[in-house]
Amino acid sequence: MAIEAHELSFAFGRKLIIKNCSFRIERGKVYAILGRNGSGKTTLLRLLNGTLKPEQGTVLVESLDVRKSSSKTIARILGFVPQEHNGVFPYRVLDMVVMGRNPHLSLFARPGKKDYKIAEEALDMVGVWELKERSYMEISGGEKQMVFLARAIAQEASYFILDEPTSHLDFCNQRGIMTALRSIVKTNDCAAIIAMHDPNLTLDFADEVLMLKDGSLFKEGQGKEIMNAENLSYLYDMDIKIAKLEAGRQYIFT
Amino acid sequence: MQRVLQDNQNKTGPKLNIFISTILVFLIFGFSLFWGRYHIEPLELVQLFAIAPAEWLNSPEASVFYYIRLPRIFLAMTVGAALAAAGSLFQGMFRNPLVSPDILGVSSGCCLGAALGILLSRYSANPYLIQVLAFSFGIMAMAMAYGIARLSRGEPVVMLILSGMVVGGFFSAALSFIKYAADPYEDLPAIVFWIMGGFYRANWEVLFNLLLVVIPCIALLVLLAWKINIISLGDEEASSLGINVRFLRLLLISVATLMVAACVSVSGTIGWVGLVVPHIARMLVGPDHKFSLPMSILIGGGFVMLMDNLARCLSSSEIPISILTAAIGTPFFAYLLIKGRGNAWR
Repeated sequence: MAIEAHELSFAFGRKLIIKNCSFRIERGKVYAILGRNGSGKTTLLRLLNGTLKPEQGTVLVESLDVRKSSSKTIARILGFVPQEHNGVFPYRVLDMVVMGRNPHLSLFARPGKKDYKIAEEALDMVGVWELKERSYMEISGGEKQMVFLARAIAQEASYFILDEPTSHLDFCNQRGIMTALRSIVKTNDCAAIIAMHDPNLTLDFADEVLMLKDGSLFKEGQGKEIMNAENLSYLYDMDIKIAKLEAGRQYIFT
Repeated sequence: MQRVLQDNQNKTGPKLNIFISTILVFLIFGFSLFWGRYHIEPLELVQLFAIAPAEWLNSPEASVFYYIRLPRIFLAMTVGAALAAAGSLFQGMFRNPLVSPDILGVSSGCCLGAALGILLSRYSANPYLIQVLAFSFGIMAMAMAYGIARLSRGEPVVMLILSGMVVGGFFSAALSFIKYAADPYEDLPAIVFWIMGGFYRANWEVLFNLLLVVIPCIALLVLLAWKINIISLGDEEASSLGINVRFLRLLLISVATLMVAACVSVSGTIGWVGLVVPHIARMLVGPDHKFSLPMSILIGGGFVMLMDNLARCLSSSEIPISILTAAIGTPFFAYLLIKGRGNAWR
């Protein structure tokens, strides 16, 4: 019961974006992918959910090859939370979340009472049930991220893939969505794979960290162990220091 | 969860609007029975209903009513409904408020086919030559647009719109050439009038053949309305929600093209219905295609039926319907743009 990436490589044209990455995602943990802009984080996520076809290597989602299985099968296991949503229709938030029920419905079926109930429960779980009647074009960026997370939960996915979910959020919403995500991962025995920009947030919320440098995984392991000044300095090409705070917490700065 | 779960699927607002529109369409249908060059009084209508089918040909009133007017009204309604349904689908699927059913070059293809048919009809005894050619060229245009889009490696939705324009442009050029080369006294006016559209070709046979295509297509679209919502989120998101985007898009495009080509090959081009009606529908029932698609079908049917009444009654000779739909559709669309405060999706 895991996602296994075997020797993944991917190129846009001649430029190799992902070089020979292998790793394993297990349930019950939060994984963060750290790396600079252009290091290949988003590409790696899109290889994981099968949107992109790797030049080499395979992704096995609970032993199903992600490129050879139907999108419906994969959608029951993998939930994707987009970084930015460029939808055009002002659908109601609840209608948006209930779309997560699609992998469980047949071609001509529409969501029924049960599906709407699941969607409401998912909204409640991430704490934005009050938004359900609003148009999702009118809610804030942070609320949108919560709604998309709720949709992935309504999907009953076991693995959540999130692309920089905190990038447009204020300090409070950043912690809010990460707390919600972490509690869902722990209570439902799921896993989250998150492309992250903020190393401090990573330190606080991720169990495992994958460090991506120029398309190669140069370090992976428990966040507390590998997030040291040496590795981070190499990862971000700058001199990074870590301060020890009270209660065993750390603060990363330059 | 402590909160009371509401009955979320059965929103009354959109359903009420759909109900009211249904009544309106029936009213327009009722009035259409009286209107026309041959005016029928309400009392006469009752008498007409009393005439047995076998006697229809013996009475001039009855033959006008049963063989010309009635199929014509149904034809106008069917074509309007189909164009609006296709427009609603395409605007949703292509995520673009400017899209109309001709976006994949279908109408241009149909016009080229019809023009060819008009040229060839003097060598052929087949009365349906023009329709068959128009239909086949319409389908061919869509197939070419889809093929070009698939061969390119860009964003599929953008590529489809561009390749549709390419194919449409090419077919228009071919049509212009045919017009240029055509006999200016007979064929050219015939081509021009055909393209401007109208329901003067209506009879029961044409109507039934069209319904044979349109009813299954519309039914399929309505059944898939909820999936159109998902595909309107964009390819990547729809795919991550378990939609086989390529299959569903090809299915929807094929169904809509079949329907539009069948309509255009019977009635000629009728502009603005497929563009404006879906906007009106969304204003009335919201963006959810479960409601906006059926609403578009209703409004489209009613609107074209009404326009055809005007086409028949406004002057002593029939006005081509595309002139009326454009003349009334464009100012209304302008009004919507102003009133909608720049948001083209409501």
